[in-house]
Amino acid sequence: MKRKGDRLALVFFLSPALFLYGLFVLYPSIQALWMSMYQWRGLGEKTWIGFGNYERMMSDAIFINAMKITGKYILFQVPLVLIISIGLALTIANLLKSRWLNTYRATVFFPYILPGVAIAMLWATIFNPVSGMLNGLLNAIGLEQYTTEWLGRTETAFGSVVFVNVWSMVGFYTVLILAAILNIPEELTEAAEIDGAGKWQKSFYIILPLLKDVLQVVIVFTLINTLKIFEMPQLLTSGGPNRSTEPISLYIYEQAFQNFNFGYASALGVIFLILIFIASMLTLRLTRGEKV
Amino acid sequence: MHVKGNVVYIPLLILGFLFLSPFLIMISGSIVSMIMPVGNPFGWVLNESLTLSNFTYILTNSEFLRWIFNSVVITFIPVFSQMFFAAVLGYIFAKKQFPFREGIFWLMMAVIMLPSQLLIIPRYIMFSELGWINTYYPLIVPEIWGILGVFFVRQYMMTLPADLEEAARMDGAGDFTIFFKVMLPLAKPVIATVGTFAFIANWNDLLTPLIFTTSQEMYPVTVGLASLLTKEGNFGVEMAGSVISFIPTFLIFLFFQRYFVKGIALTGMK
Repeated sequence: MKRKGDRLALVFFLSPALFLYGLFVLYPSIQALWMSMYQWRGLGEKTWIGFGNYERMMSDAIFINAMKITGKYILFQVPLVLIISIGLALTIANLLKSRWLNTYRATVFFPYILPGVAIAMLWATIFNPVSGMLNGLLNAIGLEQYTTEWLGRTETAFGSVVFVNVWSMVGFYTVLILAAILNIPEELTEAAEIDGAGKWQKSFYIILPLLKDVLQVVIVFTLINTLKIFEMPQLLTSGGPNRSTEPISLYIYEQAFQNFNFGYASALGVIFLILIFIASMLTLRLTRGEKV
Repeated sequence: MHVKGNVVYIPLLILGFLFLSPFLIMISGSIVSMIMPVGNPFGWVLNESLTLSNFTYILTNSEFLRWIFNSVVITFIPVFSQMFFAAVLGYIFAKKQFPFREGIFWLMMAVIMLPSQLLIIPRYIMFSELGWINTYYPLIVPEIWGILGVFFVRQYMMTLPADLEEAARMDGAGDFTIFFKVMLPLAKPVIATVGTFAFIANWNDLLTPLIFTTSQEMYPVTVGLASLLTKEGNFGVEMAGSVISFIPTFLIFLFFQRYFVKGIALTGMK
């Protein structure tokens, strides 16, 4: 039953969305691609340099360092977020019921609703070498030798930034996974209980395989968000000390809005996009191909 | 429950404390007068005299109220329009047949991979030419709708059986009636979830307003807070600012929590 009115309604609702998408996503993307072929400092002359910007990247030690740092973030942050959110969701589902479950879920989700600026302020205060609570705590329990300048030394800055990121991200994914666990029909888990499986055995052999779909979503989201990581390194350390916490996104920002190398920053952005695309497709393929 | 069983709750308690303690520090720091935090934060409330001076200071010595107003403007318009578009487009992409439906949808979905750093330079140039820098437009117009919300509603509506729609059609209902009387009521929790996400994302966004607003009176709360961080260097004032900026999100979250949890469960992520 296709009526003319239906068609009209379809066009009426779809076209503004398509228009905005074209104007604010497609057009700027193409423009970025085109700009990456120029040497351009925002004002003044644009000079066509072809793939010059891309060649420059190959020998840009800061860019290569930023790539490595981004890789390092992925290496630590993605597994940490995954393991903690799965573990936490299973633990909550196994141990808590009704009101306590709701309260704990809200607690875990809390950091997610706090603005990044506030998160950074709070943790910068806690990590502060002079008056910070972390060093205060270590002093109080007799571990003075471990007190340090957490965000100011290359040895500890990266770990600290990763910690704050995991702290702020993990609640969201725990809530997603928990929702999926609570959605599993009880007959499935009851059957296992009759067969004599313990709570944790049940979690491992019955529940975990059933979470395949949500875990796929969680893995891809965590990966993309870790690749794009920007706010915490920017606010906590500004990428330092010695660029030891500077991911690609921050370097692009620096090139674009501090050095005003619009052309070069665009080229970096294009490479960054390709990287995200490859990583996402690879994860989708790997997690899909996995047998249950 | 016996004693041995209770031991397993200890890690949960410690973790819960780890999630909550920064909030406790934030709140207690905001009601004592301290330029630098000293000593045990959990003792402040007991040992120091409580005061609201941080709040009055921030409200009188900065444009904080204006920043809140700006945040409200650039958050509320996108929240409602995003809920509207998520509902309508989610329905269209889930239930309507038209050429290139899947292609269009997944091309739009690819946006979630785009790093904002890539789009922000061309957008900056575009907005400069339009004279939009330092106005609300660059913070509102690109956020009128978002694909993630459409995705959530589409996922949910795809799980609804076709019988539902057919039964209504038998009774002579048209597309509009089906959408408003059948689909919309069912999708309410999902749409509330979309709204909550949109609120959190827009209220907390830092990068976009950092670049597109240059004068103090156009700052949203996030940028304003960040500017205080470098300008004031007063712990109590910073914490008071964080508390105020957090209250609206907190209220929305409390209010929509029930819907929200249900909404996530309904999006078909099982």
